[in-house]
Amino acid sequence: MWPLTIMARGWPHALVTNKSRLVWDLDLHGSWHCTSSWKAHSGSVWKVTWAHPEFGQVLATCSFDRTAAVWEEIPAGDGPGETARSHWIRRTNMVDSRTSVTDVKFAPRQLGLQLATSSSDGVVRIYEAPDVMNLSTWTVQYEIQAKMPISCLTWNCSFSSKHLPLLAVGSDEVAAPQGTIAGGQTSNVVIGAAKVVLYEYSENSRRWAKAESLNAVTEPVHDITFAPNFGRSYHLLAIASRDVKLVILRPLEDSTETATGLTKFSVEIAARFEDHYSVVWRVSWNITGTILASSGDDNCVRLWKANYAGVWRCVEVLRDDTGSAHTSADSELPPISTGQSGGHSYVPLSAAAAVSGSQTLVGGATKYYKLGSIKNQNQVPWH
Amino acid sequence: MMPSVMRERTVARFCGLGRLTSHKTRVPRPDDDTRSSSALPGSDRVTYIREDSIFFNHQAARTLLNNSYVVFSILQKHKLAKNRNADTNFDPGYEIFDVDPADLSLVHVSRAYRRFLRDCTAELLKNKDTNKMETLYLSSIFFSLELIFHLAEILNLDHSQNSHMVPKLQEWIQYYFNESSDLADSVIKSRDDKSPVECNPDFWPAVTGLIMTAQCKEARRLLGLHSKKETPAIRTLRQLLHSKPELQSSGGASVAINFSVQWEAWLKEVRNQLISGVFSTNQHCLELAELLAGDNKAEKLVYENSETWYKFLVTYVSYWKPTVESFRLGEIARKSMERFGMDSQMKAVDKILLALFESDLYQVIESLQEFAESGWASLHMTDLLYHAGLLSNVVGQDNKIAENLRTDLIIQFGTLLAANDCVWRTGLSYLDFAGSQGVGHIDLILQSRGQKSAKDAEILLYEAGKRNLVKAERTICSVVSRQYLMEKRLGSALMWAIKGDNHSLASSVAELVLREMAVNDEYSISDVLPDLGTSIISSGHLVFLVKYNEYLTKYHDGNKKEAVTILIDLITSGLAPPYFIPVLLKKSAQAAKEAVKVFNSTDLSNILGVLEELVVTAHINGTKDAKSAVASLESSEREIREVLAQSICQAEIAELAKV
Repeated sequence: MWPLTIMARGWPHALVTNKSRLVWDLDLHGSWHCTSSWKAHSGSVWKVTWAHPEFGQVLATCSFDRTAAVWEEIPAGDGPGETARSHWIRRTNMVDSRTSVTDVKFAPRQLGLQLATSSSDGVVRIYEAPDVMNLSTWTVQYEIQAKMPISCLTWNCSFSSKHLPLLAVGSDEVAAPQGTIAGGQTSNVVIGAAKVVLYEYSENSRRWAKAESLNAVTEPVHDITFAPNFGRSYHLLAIASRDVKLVILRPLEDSTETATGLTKFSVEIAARFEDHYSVVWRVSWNITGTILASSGDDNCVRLWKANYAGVWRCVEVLRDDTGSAHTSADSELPPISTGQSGGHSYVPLSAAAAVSGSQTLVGGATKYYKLGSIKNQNQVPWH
Repeated sequence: MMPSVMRERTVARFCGLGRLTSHKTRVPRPDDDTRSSSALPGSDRVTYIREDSIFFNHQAARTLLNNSYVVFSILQKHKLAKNRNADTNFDPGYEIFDVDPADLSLVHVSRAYRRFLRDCTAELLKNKDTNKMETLYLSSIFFSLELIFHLAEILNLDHSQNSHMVPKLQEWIQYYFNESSDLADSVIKSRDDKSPVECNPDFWPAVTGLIMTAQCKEARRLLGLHSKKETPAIRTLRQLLHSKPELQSSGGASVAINFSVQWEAWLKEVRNQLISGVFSTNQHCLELAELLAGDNKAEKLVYENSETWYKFLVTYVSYWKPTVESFRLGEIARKSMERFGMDSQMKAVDKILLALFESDLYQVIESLQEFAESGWASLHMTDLLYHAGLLSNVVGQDNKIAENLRTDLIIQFGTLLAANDCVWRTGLSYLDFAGSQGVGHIDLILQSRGQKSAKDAEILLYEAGKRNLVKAERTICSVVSRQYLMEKRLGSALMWAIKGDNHSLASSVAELVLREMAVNDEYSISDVLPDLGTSIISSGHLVFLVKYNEYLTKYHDGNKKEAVTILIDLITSGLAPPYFIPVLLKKSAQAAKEAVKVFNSTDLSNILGVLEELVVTAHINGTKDAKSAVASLESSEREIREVLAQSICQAEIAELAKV
């Protein structure tokens, strides 16, 4: 969302923070080093995303400066200089958007090297690099007009060949106040319009088409993520809005009979979490799609998990107790365990059961430990 | 921008297995119009969080994990084999149980788990280096788990022969709360001639404790040390203790009926003695006799001498309801808890034990999840109950829920372990028992664990190969190949790309190798190439590369004739990419200079033809490659032509001479 995003690199090995465009590497001894830092865009960078490591060390950024860019890491010089910083080369700059590019996501890797961008003027563009070895050539394969400002998008990553590629986009458009509508200025803004729309790729017509609008979501959407799916027959979509919504999209049996070849979905709200009591900015799934982390304006990170019967519960609440993030906290923080009230950083609240009463079947037993924190590039805080 | 319009926002994101990053970012307040002006200095601190488990940090716990996995896996295989009526005698793992494989029952499995828990507790307490508080905390957890598993075993698994509950419960409580026996020992030891043994303040508490835990023989022996053991009160009490009938834990209804008759008779005797007033001289004896009689007056004594409500419960059933059926225990357990006023301050252990007494097995699992470490206990308990068929009985006939629950717990536990560098392979092994979902998870875990070195990758590959996960193998190899590619180690990159069956990547890497060879004469990857096997056919670049390498090897070995034959093939076949033709031309010119006799005139003119073609295409509609190839030839083109022309002449003369 706002200026800082973290993603795992190569999966567990690094973080990138995009505000200062730093790449942190985790070395073999468990310390973090800032390996690169560079200026990427002339405006704020909204999001950073890593491509699957199968395609190399590649990341994409999108920015307020109306562009998205693809970067590739080049190791620093030849020779044994291990400490030398690697550098990142801008392989391509995507300048098709006329407004701020709000999100950028690589497609699941079985679709090859594809990249979707969304912009605040409501256009989703899908780029493809036909030669995976050549990241400088990207062509716009599809353009989808969503007719609403888009804030976020997500690919579904299903491992089943039965599922067609799906894209979900969310809009953070704020419904106009009644007055303006009366004035007739913004007649295209409809109060209560669906803020999440699904697009599906149809093999027959070889294009992306609107498959479903989620009418249940009418508030501004800030983040949206499909859960990784293997073995499930349905898709699970997490939506960050005024609350967290989990939507089950179940492809209907007789869907392929339709002329368009598009799947019809039954839409079902699996859960709605209002525990943040505030706007939720981010939702993120763990790799196996079993735990959802939501972060909201209450400065809490909540972890959600379904029990065997498919009932979603909050299993952990992580609260940032630092107060102000730029306090000069020590770099060598002790590990903070559940229940102890350390002065710094994340203190997992003691037991989930204490928060959510007797409702949890999963939970309570989960513990999260702080592993370390990064303060400044020169420091290597680690316990 | 003024700080007053800034606010902080926490954002978290999963990255990697079981890891979460979190950071704060400063954002302008919504009413601030300049919000899009520039990047804002957010917090420069990122917190990296991982899920923790004691299995990650303690050797003792890890031993428990490894042992319990062995038992767990044997149980699964055993059940599977039993369903198929297959023979299981060959599994060496059965040694753990010290039982004939055919007789293996869930009780044995449960006992094995308990043994491991006990070993783990002992190991934890033995290790003095670690944090004292933590060790105590952990060992108390393992102790409680042992207590719970034992009770679950008694109440749920051990139904072999119409067994009776009370003797087993007595055994259970004696096993874990045996301080009265220790007390008795110390009383006996510290006895001296100066004062009678009953003057020891521990004497009567020891007797009471022994009788409460139904160790009547021991109690009688201790009473025998009393200086006035011949007084009627003590003599009668000892006699009553001696004649108290014992219910055997096994045996059918007839045993129970027999016992009831004997018990009634004995009880009558106790009451008669109470009425006769024989105990009135000794308050202690009177209280104990009241306890034996199951008199309500004794309830207070039991309450005061019980540390826990479940100890109270066992004493209560021993003297008030010696033939109680297990389905009545829940009610009694609840009453005992009420007696202890614990409704409001139930601890996790209390909750679980109560649920066990009440046969509310789902509650047991739920509470275990909240209480115990990392899902170990809930998983193994669920698995035992599942195999005992007890979970499906609870929720009607639907076995689906029980199955889902078990699978879910295996996946939770397995994925948790899989995130740790030390125990991840055990995690995968657990996931093997979670059906197709487990396979899916393993697939994903192998692909996303990431490897720090080729050695790590080999282990990942081994795990993937064991389970026939082709896709994961492919991904792992491709990622390694990419890493090498980034380090410009083209040979290794090529090898891994081929290993991963990634044809397009292999072909691309082969092309890079060729380009490198075209500009750098010294460059060679001949150490890797022999291992490529038959997979080279997948790509033209690869075929060419291998052939060219063959030529180089032959040439260096001095086998020039064969080498030249290959070289001619390479040039004239049209397989060579334009950028590589100059290299081939130079090589052939050189070879022609050295040993003309190998070439015949047709070959030589063909080679010259290739040169012509390259030059022509480069001039007419040449690709970048062709143009740069010609450019690279520039200086030597003339020389090559001369050498070739000369060689053609010589060859033709030689051929004519032959004719």
